[in-house]
Formats: sequence, C-alpha cells, structure tokens
Amino acid sequence: MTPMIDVVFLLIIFFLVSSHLAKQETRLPVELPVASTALPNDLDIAPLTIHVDASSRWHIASRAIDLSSLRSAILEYKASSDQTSIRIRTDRSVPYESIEPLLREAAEAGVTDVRIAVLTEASR
Amino acid sequence: MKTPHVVRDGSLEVAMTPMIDVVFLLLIFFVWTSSFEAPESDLPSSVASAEKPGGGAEPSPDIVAEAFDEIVIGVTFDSSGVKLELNQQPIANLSVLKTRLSEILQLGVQPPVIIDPEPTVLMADAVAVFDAARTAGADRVLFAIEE
Repeated sequence: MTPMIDVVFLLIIFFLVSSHLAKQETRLPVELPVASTALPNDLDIAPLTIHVDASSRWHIASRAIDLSSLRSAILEYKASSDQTSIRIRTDRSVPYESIEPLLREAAEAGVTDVRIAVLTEASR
Repeated sequence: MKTPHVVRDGSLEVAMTPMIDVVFLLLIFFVWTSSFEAPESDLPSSVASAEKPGGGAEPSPDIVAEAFDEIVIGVTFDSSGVKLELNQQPIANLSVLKTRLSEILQLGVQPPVIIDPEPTVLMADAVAVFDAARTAGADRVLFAIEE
C-alpha cells in the first residue's frame, strides 16, 4: 500500500502545483484600488482586460503594449465580440495620466463600458 | 432473536496510519486549491470627453450659471496631499464632498458627475473620489479625458 500512496501523493502534488502556476500566468499581481460601491463581477460578459502595473506599463494578456498596439487591440476585440466592455486592472499607485489614454482609446473606439477592477472594503 | 455477533479479536488499536494519510492528502488538497487572493469587483465607469478644446477642467462661466447641468469634481495633487474642487469651489475632504453631493442630489436632480483628476493624481485617490460620488448616490459618474 505505502508505495502506491507515495506515488499517488506525488502525482497529486505535481498536478496541483502545475495548475496553480498556469493560473497565475493570467493574472498580473497588482495592488488594486479600494472602493465600497463596486458591483460583483458579471460573469456573462467577457471584457477585454488591460493590466497596468505599478510602473505604468500596459499589458493585454501578459503582453506589453504601446499606444498603437492598444488601438488595434481594442478594435480587434470590438470586431470579435458583440458585448464590448473593457476592464482595467490598475495598480493603485499609477498616476491618472497612464489611465487616461486607455479611456480615450476606448471612447474613440466606441466602447463606453469601461470598468475599473477594485477591491471592496470588506475583502481587504 | 439473534444478537449481532461482534468479533473481538482482542486488539483495540485504531489503525492510525491510513487515516493520517488521507487527512494529510485532504489538507494538502485544500491548501493548494484555496485562493488567498481577495475577490475583485468592478466599478462601472465610463468616459466623458471634453467637447471644447482645453479640456473639461475649466468650465466656462455659462456652465457655472447652470450649475446642475453637470458636476465637475477636479482632483489635484501636490505636496500637501490631494485637493478637491466641486465646480471650482475648493472642498476640504472626501466626507465634505459626499455631503455636498448628496445635498445636491436630494434636490431631485441627477446630473452626471465628472471626475477630472490631474495627470499626476494616483489612481487610488481618483478611485476614492469616484467611489465617494457613487456613495453619495450619483448614478452617472464619469472620468474626464482631455482631447
């Protein structure tokens, strides 16, 4: 019995660790701002998530982007999806000047639903 | 009536090792699958672009005259901290802003509230002002962008 339990145990640990790492790749660790009036995530929409890290770099799907590729990414997203919504996950220490271009590009592309990811005060 | 036959082979020891194996496995499983990240939520937001050149930061006198057309909250940032302006009148802090906004909204109007942070204002403060406006009961809170 004991060797089998050892092997099964090792396999379980292996799969858990690998799945955990795969999950972390999709989520840039940023310190989100805090708000109290936020709505829970709407799982029905598939927003385009733009990450802004603490040094004000923009990322879409863990790929760093600049202003021109941001524009094309938003247009591409808008063409591919019928519900258009942009979700900005920004670090709380980022100045507004790095968020403003995102908002402007979204507005120019005709995406009016821009959400800002926050932590609610209860979950701090 | 037959009484159930209980086998007593004399050893009263509970087999601990398999139980420990299973408990340990379950423990590892739940520790790995639990997420220690706080759940995230969304602040619904939208964008107000300045129609006139020069940006929404400077409302012209005729906009002040019809003050309930829209409420512009300017957020500036300097060494002494974050400064707030409600339609160009200085506001001491966030709770004063909240009471002022809810007083305006109690009149039964629902003007769009436009948050106009300076470029250097941190998102934490901008979102705090945004949140304060929503707490005061404003339906449409927008971030201003300058063309």
